[in-house]
Amino acid sequence: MKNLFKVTISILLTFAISISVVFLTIPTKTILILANTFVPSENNINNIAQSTTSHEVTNVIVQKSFNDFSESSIDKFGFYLRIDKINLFKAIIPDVDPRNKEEYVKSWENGISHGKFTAKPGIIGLTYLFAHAVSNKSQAIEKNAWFSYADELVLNDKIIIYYKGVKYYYEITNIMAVSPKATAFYTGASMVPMLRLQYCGPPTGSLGSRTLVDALLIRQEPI
Amino acid sequence: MNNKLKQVLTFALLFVFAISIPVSIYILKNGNLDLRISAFDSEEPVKVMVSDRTSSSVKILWITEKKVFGAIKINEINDLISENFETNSHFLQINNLKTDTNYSFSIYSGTKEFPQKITFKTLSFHESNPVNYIIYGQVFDKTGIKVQQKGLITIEFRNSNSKSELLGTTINETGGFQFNLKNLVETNTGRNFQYNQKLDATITIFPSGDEQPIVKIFTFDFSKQNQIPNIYLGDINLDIIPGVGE
Repeated sequence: MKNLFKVTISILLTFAISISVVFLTIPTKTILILANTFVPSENNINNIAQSTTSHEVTNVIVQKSFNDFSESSIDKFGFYLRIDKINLFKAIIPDVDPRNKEEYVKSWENGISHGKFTAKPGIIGLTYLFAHAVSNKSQAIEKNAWFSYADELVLNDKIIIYYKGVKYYYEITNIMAVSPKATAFYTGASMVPMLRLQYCGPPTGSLGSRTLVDALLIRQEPI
Repeated sequence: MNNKLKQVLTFALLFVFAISIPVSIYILKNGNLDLRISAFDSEEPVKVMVSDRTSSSVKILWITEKKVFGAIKINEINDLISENFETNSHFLQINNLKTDTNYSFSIYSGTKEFPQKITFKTLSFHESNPVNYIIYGQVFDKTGIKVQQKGLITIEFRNSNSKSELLGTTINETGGFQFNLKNLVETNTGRNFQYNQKLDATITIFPSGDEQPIVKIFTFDFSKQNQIPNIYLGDINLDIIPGVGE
């Protein structure tokens, strides 16, 4: 009886090990973890959707303006947008939900919105920034319309992002107007590190279309 | 505890352990314990669609769970048009149809015939001077890094005052797809659709028979480029690009 038991156990273990060896030789299908890339997977999107963001701003601005900061006054590990051509230097509020109007309008009180479900600088992906714009520029500050002068941007203009101790230099490569319903342009996926600014218009401030300003990463350096 | 009971318990524990090793490795390698056997998959056509209507042709698209040969029988003609390879994502172009005529059809899928309730009508005019104009793109699946290797994709265009006929095709093994706009017409007027301009393109992807379709909308200037941006099936259900009025 004892021998029969031992034989059965041996057969079972041999069977288990041989099956395991067969499975181990099959090329793996396990999904790669891409640490340096924004992956627009369903799992990633669900995880981001469940995460809560406080939208805290490190430097509190008392007097609102287009140019709240200088390179010497920023928190080196914060998140900022700088476009010298239009004299813009604002904080960026991370992970603002584009589906929640109340949330994104409130975020503009403190700066530019970084779109939730899109990449942050420093990884391969698309960093999507959006803000309000108005045609009457004299009302821009009052209405937190920080992209009101973005209609002056043209190809090859420079954009700088500060994020977590690194300064990222981008150059504008494409400007296009799209339908407000063309939501496929709202994405964090890109083959290369990329920045997309978005505001209402043309004409600037109108709801009939949206302007997308795409810029590619040229170089980066520690602050 | 007597010896016999000890032996039984030891045997049971070792059995569970022994089975768990290959099962665990299978799950680790595949990401799930999907042990479906393809022989039991359904041959029934689902998501059956008619697209690419012209005055003399249409395209019929459908999905099957099982990879099978497909064929179409147009009832009014009694002619059979068949595929020459097994697939899950099917399309067949039916040519030499009469102008402005209603047709019904059956799909032969694997070993069975599936009569279809939907019918179609060819357009009532003849296309003028069609020139090939191909647009193409690539679809990535819900993992975000692998290409979608099967399924159907349709596209329709809108400008300020008109809408195009629906075009459809299958997604190939590299996630690629292409549409030929040469016979594209306006749905209501039947005139050739002016595609060489900035248009809104609504792209609908049917990844499989049992998944909900995913809609992606682009604005696209087809006079400048032929390649549609990459399409990712991971979706956040955004209705409109954020913005507020002045």
